[in-house]
Amino acid sequence: MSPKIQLGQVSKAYETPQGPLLAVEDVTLAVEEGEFFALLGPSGCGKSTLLRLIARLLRPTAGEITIRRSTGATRPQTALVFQEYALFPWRSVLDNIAFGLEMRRVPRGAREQVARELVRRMGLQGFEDRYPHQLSGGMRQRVGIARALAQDPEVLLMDEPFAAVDAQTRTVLQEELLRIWEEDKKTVVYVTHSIEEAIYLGDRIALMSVRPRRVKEVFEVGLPRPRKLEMRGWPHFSALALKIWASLRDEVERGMRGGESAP
Amino acid sequence: MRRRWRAPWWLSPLLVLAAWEAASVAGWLRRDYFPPPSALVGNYRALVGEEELLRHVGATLGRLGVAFVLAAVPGVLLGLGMGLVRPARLLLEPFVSGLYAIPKIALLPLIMLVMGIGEPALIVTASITAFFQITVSTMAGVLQVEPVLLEAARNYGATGHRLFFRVILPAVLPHIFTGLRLGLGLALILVIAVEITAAQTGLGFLIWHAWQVFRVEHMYCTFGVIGAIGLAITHGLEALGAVLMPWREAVWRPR
Ligand SMILES: Nc1ncnc2c1ncn2[C@@H]1O[C@H](COP(=O)(O)OP(=O)(O)OP(=O)(O)O)[C@@H](O)[C@H]1O
Ligand SMILES: [Mg+2]
Repeated sequence: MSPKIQLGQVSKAYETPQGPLLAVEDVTLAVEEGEFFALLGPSGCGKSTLLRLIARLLRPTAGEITIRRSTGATRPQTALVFQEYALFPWRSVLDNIAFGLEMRRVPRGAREQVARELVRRMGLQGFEDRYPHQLSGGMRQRVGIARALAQDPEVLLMDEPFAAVDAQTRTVLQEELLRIWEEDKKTVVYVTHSIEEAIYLGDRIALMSVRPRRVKEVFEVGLPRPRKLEMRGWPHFSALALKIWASLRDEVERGMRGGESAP
Repeated sequence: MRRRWRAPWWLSPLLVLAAWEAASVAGWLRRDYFPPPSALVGNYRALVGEEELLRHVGATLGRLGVAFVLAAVPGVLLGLGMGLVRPARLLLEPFVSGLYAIPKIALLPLIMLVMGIGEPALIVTASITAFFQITVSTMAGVLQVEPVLLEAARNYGATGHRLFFRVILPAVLPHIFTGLRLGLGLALILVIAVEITAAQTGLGFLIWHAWQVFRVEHMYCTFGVIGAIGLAITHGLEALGAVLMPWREAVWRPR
């Protein structure tokens, strides 16, 4: 079967007052159906831009992106968990989660049921009627994830969802995400800064480089499913982490020397 | 956590009145120009009796209400239109920004020329300032909607009227409200101004009349009534905003 998501020589340039800025350069990738695909890279390498391209919020300047539709599916193709949360300030937690369903004219009763179930799974009980400004950063991101899961999309796109929470909460949320993912093995593209997170969650890891902004290398994780916390102590885990770090280090250093200027 | 003490809204007016009273009683202020507030309190009865204060309050509030509605409805619509439709914005923005700066009371003679002398000319003159304020605030609000919220709306399937009513309008509502609050205040100022210039009723007329018959106390009492109306408008709209937009942290209330 053909891949679920296919990117062929995709480039994206932003128009800026200083001229076009290449945020993604000539990326070719294939993500398989049911795969948990991690995108790893230093700040500014174009990860968010790539997710927005897949979500069709941006048009590629060159190249092509195809998402294979499952036959007869009426669910949305993608749901994006935004790095900036992007919750609607005027909607309560429950109404934020149900937003996508409401746009699809799912009756109130049915969408409330879905939203309440996600409130439970994301540990947001007691906060159903709060507004986003009354929540901590970690809770806001959980609402963002719940809003995406409520869509039951064919492809779940997540942009550094746990970057803003403390390490303990992150571990709990990662386990919860894996548990949810094991239920239906949805295709996931997951952006992260963290090598450990990418290995712990992902089937494959694409390492993005800063100059040029493209996929530098793709790593097979090769750990069994379901993932267990103790796998982080396995020799294979740390060996892979080291290998990725060796490749990533050049990029981080290059990024710090000013990734913005033209090559 | 201990709640921070907040000065009640009446504290600063009370302090000013007390200082004024003291200065007037001590003879530092000329009593016939600056009568002490205590002497003015009794004057309200005279104002209600001799000058039919309530009738004038009614006239001013009536003009204010009509002028405000005349400003608010087209102002919000035009502001939304200019914010949402780029060509409309590019076309109209120079006019709006240019006219925004002209003191609208200066238009009264022209408007009376066109519309004839009478109520409609007064009310239209009073409403124009508020109209521009509301238009500009609403347009600025549309332009300030966070792009990432629009992206989220799109990604989660909002299009057409649902995009407008469930995303854009609630996002702009706080700005519309600010525009309405400023607009209503401006409309009050302008109503008083046109009444001073060209009316036989209303609080503005009353001030002018008090000057003509040299009843300084009447003048101050009328100021007091106008101030009270301004205060009620501002706090009333703020309270309404808090009810309509419970998600919004109070931005305006001094903290
Ligand atoms: N709307 C935009 N207009 C112009 N330039 C942009 C825009 N969005 C992003 N960029 C630039 O494109 C490049 C890639 O940005 P992007 O947000 O995709 O990076 P990222 O990998 O997600 O970074 P981070 O890890 O910090 O979130 C950066 O240099 C950024 O400054
Ligand atoms: Mg990013």
